Amino acid sequence: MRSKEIVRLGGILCLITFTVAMVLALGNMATAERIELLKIEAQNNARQAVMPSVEYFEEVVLSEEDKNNYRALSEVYVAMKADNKIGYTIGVAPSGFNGPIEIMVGIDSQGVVTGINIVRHQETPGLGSKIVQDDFKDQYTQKAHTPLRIIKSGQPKDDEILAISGATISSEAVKDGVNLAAIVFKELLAK
Amino acid sequence: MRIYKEFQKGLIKENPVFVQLLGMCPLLAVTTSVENGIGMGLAATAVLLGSNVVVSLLRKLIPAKIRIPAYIVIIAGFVTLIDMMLEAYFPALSQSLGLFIPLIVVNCIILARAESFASKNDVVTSVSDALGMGIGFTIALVTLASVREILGNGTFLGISLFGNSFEPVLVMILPPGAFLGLGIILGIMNWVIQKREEGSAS
Repeated sequence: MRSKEIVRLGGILCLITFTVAMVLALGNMATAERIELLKIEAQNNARQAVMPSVEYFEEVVLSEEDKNNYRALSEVYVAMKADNKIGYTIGVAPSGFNGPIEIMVGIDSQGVVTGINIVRHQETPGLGSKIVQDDFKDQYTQKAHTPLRIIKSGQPKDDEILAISGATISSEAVKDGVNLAAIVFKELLAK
Repeated sequence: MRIYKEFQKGLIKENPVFVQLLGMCPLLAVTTSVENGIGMGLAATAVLLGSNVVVSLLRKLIPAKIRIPAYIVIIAGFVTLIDMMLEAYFPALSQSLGLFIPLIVVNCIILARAESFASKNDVVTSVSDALGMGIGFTIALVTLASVREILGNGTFLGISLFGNSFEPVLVMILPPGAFLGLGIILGIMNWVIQKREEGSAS
């Protein structure tokens, strides 16, 4: 191939990639803001859902040390009502069967779990994905005796959670996340 | 007439999945629920439509020697655009299709149509080809997803079909179920086609 030909082909390819890049830049400009808003809204809804009586939230800034000590911890917010602390929402992301499971855990100022919400996960559809269903999630509500344990059958006691059949790893991961949130509450927040 | 013929061939006769056996990776991966199947099918159809139109418009401008990188860039551009649109306007769908949207880039159906059809035909026939192939792909996804969701989860589009007494065949929504389901569907299709040919021969 002569060098002139290479320059011509390269030029055409360059023109195509440049045009595509321009189109993508426009598309990104049109959607980026909305995507960001949706993400913030999803996080807000998740916090609201686990702490229903809240009026507003205040973010707790985590130090580098805290982030190193609690690796799966992602965020902590104080839930406020009429200028009183009524509890915390703690975002955790334990490893599930298939990547991290982002969980929002609500804990009131006595350390009782007020609810949990699965914000994002990639668990196996039909198996691990059942962690988002209410009959699994609601088991955590009003739990005060941590650390919790997973049982595979029978009637769960105060500190026990009944696993989803066929999805023990996903169930354990959610339990680990809630336990971590409880530890964070005891060690960092309840002081 | 020709336009209709180009559209119709993708549905059954040259169905990209059941006859040409293209696009196996997304087919096997996302068909765990009918909703995912429809979403993936429509997203792939949109990309196919966009890439067929552009490739057909540029068919005289793109030199043969660099056609493959040019097609890939065009297809990747459409995929990224659709990914952003889904995330902004259909966040739930975008979350459940997640990883598979970027994989449309390497969906060989789209490259195959660009290479074997759009680069040789005008825009209008390329559009009908894209729609036919896209819908054919969607039909295949929904067929396999229905089998898997009904047997493996006892639901169709999330609606429970059999009540609580039904014990789902879990393996059907796990990866092996995709192969089992696909094999059985292909077997039935080949059997029907063979019967037909025997019938018309005698």
